[in-house]
Amino acid sequence: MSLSPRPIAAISTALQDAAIGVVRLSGPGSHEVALRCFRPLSGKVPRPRRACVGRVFDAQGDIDLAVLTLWAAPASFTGEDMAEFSCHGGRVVLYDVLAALLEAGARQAGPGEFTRRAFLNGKLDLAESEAIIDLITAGSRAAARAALSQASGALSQRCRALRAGLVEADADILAYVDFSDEGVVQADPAVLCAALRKAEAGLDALLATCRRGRVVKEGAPTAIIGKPNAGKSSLLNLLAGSERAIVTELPGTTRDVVSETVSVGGLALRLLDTAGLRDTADPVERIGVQRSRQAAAEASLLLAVFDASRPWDELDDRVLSLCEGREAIAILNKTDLPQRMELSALQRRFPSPVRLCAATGEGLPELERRLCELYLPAPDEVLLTSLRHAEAAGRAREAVRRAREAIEQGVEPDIAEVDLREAIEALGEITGESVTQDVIDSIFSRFCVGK
Amino acid sequence: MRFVADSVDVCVVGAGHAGIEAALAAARLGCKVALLTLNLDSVGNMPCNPCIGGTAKGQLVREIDALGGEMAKAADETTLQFRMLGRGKGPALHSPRVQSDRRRYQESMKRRLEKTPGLLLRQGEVVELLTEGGAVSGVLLRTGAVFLCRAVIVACGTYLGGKVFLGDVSYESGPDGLFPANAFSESLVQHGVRLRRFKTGTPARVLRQSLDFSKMQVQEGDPHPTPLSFETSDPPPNTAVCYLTYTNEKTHEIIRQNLHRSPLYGGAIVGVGPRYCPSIEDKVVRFADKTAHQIFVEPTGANTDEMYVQGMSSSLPEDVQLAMLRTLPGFEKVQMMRTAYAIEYDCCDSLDLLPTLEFKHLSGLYGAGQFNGTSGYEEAAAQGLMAGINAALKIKGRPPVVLSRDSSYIGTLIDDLVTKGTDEPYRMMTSRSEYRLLLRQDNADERLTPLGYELGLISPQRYQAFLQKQEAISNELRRLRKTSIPASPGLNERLEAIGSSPVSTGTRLAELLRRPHLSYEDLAPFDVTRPPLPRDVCEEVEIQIKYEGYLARQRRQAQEAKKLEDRVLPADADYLSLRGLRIEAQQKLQRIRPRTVGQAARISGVSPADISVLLIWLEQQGRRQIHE
Repeated sequence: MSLSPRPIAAISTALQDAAIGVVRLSGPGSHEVALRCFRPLSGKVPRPRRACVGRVFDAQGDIDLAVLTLWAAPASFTGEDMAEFSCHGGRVVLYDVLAALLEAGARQAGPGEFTRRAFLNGKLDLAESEAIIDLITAGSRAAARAALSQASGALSQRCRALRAGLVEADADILAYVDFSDEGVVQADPAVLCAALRKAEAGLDALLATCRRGRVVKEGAPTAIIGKPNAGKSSLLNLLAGSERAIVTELPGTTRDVVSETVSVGGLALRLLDTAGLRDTADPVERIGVQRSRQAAAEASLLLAVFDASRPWDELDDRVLSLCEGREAIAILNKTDLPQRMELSALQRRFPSPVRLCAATGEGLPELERRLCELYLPAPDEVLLTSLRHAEAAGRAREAVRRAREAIEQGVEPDIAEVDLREAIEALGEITGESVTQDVIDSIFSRFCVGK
Repeated sequence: MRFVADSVDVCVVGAGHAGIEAALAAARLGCKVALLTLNLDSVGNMPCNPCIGGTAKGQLVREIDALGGEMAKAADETTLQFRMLGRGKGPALHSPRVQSDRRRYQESMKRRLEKTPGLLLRQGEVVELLTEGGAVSGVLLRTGAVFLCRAVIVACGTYLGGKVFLGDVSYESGPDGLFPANAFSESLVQHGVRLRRFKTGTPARVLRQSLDFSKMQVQEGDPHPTPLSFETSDPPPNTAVCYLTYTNEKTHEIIRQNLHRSPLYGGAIVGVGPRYCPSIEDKVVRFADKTAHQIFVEPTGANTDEMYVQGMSSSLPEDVQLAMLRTLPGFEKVQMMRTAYAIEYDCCDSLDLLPTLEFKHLSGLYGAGQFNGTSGYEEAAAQGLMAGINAALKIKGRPPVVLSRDSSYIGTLIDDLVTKGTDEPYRMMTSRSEYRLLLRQDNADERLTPLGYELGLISPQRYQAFLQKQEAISNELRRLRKTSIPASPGLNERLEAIGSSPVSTGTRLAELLRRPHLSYEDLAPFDVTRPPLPRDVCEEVEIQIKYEGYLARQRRQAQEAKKLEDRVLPADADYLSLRGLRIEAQQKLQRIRPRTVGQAARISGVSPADISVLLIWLEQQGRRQIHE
């Protein structure tokens, strides 16, 4: 269990593309952390319980124009000092805001941690608390499942390897600490520092994968685009394996943006079906079309569907133009029907479109292969997929740096070891290992000590 | 025939290092105590190395002393040689170690026991534990004598079911050829105590005149010894030296050729031995690439020529022992006076104990020392002290004392024992503590003496002296943080000499002191307003300033941990029916029955999610009670 006194932070609205998304902070220091990332337009310091418009920023620059509201303990949801950013809904924005807050000194909240704090501070009743237990156990089950998945299995392995390197350095220090009287000699500071540098480099490499890892974990927002009745919903159903969207022969039957997270070849895609792209007089469907365009604009990946059984037309041209400058895969659908499409226009942009029959599933393996090429890590690459892990790895990295710098400045290694141990603990939060016993085991297996 | 010999408050079984502290503490807290031993001539015996302290153990001794225990005083009185281990390392690792006169130490301890009011020191073998209504009611001696009591502290070391191994020879015995205690094990088992077998060993003792010290390195004591006890005013002088020699390929060859004759490798010993105190044959097998192991030759007393051969613990047959000793430089004509041997004994599973060291299932029964699965005199004494204190407090109707991990090595030791358990004889090491920088030998008094005074184990005079020392420390800290000294050629010369950047303006003393390699002493010539201060005050001030950042960090961690330590779990909690806990956590919690949520969090197999569930459940309990 993390015992850090830093405030906790989390995205507290559902991760959908809603108009407004909320990122929350709770605990002592929330206000300070929030204000480190916020510049009020008015230039005045925000006061509790007053909404304040301003810019949220990180080291790279401005992230969003948002509303910040502060609450002072105990008059808040959790009963602690709190801060709440209402941002524009895109999940990328929310993640960036959260990342900025973590950078500024917050730590990622655990599952149900806001609610738990609210409960412990007397803000919730007994019945509500029952639900929290479910929430927490559900969280740990999900975490257990995640640990089994291929990507985080590899992450665990990488963290274990990094951690093992640090445990070894730690044991070198501690063996001398406890057994110098029995002939164990001081580890060479230069050798120690080299080992720590290596660990720092490893942690840096791991942290660099953080953003890409998020896409893998949370799913790349993907829009299926194509003219009416090109087979977009059929494709969604094929990928999702269920009758999610209403599929009919009539053009224009899909009116809502239907979203589904699917796993294709081991990669998570959050699919946004689109309600066709033709102009329409039907007011209900018009709304759908507008929303689809917006979804297509916000997606990070486009699946452009073309109906091979019909001739190329200007609607297809418009679909093709939407793919301009975007990450996209072209799909030539309805390969089971007589082929009537002239492909030259398409092939100028997509030399080899995926041939697919969404109704039968023929061609799906080829689509999976293309997707994997785009997104999945090479087999030996590891991605940090969760912000919580990234935060722990970041903490480990900082602690290793402190330890190394202290040793370089001539501080006794056994003092600097305090930081080293913190790093091992932080990595242990990812791998689920405890410190003390490991180090002691390492000492005994590697040093000859005893009366 | 059974007869009631006496009626007391507390019976302590065994007068080794644990039993002594237990009996003294309980008697000093106003209990009538019977301290029972198999042999009055072996009170406070050191059947292995006659040495008190060492890495982490030195800190334990200082803590025992700070709480009002006896070990440090007896060691100061019988010091042959003093060394402060770990000089040159950080201050957390400065560990005092005393080579002690074994017989005089025993005499000193026996005399201290005899002079303690309310304490009856008795020879006699305890063969039975007596209970009444689910609580301890007395002990029965082999002679038929019954001592009625309300608490029994079992501190019988390696005597319980003791069995000695020497090659293919084995026999029932306690250490040093003393009688074992065979009957008591059975009685404990009948009362539901789960026993297991651990083993340990000791090297040979050899005759001083048979050694050629010209072939060994001399190891002198520290030029300026410091006492182990905060109450000893005059540092004991060094009166003896130790020697260092090494094993070689010939030694290892003899061991390898005779491994099949070792009871360990032959499978006769079933007990689990400690990894950190391996026999020489273990070392040779496990670290085959090492061509030499260091061997210390140490005196065991001022009035004896028996020398202890540290590093040569073995259970090989006597003829092999002699052959391998003779390969050591300076040992060519060695005469062995006592052989090395391994000893196997019964001990309890420490997970069955409460943090007060009382058994969970039997009110009034306590365990301490090797019986609890530890190794070492200091570890034993620490537990004896706490068991004695808690037995007495219970009898007096006072709340128990459980030391936290951030308060002491004693607290860490006991928490480890009752929370994590141990699969081998447990030895204290500094790396076992997450608060090493806070738990130093120099500040043991600051950490524990106020508690000792509150309990009634520290005299008012000693407490006054303690308060004066603390005041001197805080005054000097304030002065160093306030006072600036001007830049001067002399100061800059000094700074450059240690590779530190020179100063150009007035600089605060505290700021200078924080620089690595610059000591409080180094600053003396430039610090003209410095008052004369005792050495221990200077030491303390220097550490507190030099390592301020690290100390603050560890204190913060301790504070955070305390939030969970403060949440007490009900003793009757039924974890098996607690919704939301994983099955492994349910079982572990049900077995160990942690006292606090903090302790629960340290149990292996209990996850952070389980802890959240516990916290919420606790809160629900609290609210229901208020509601009702």
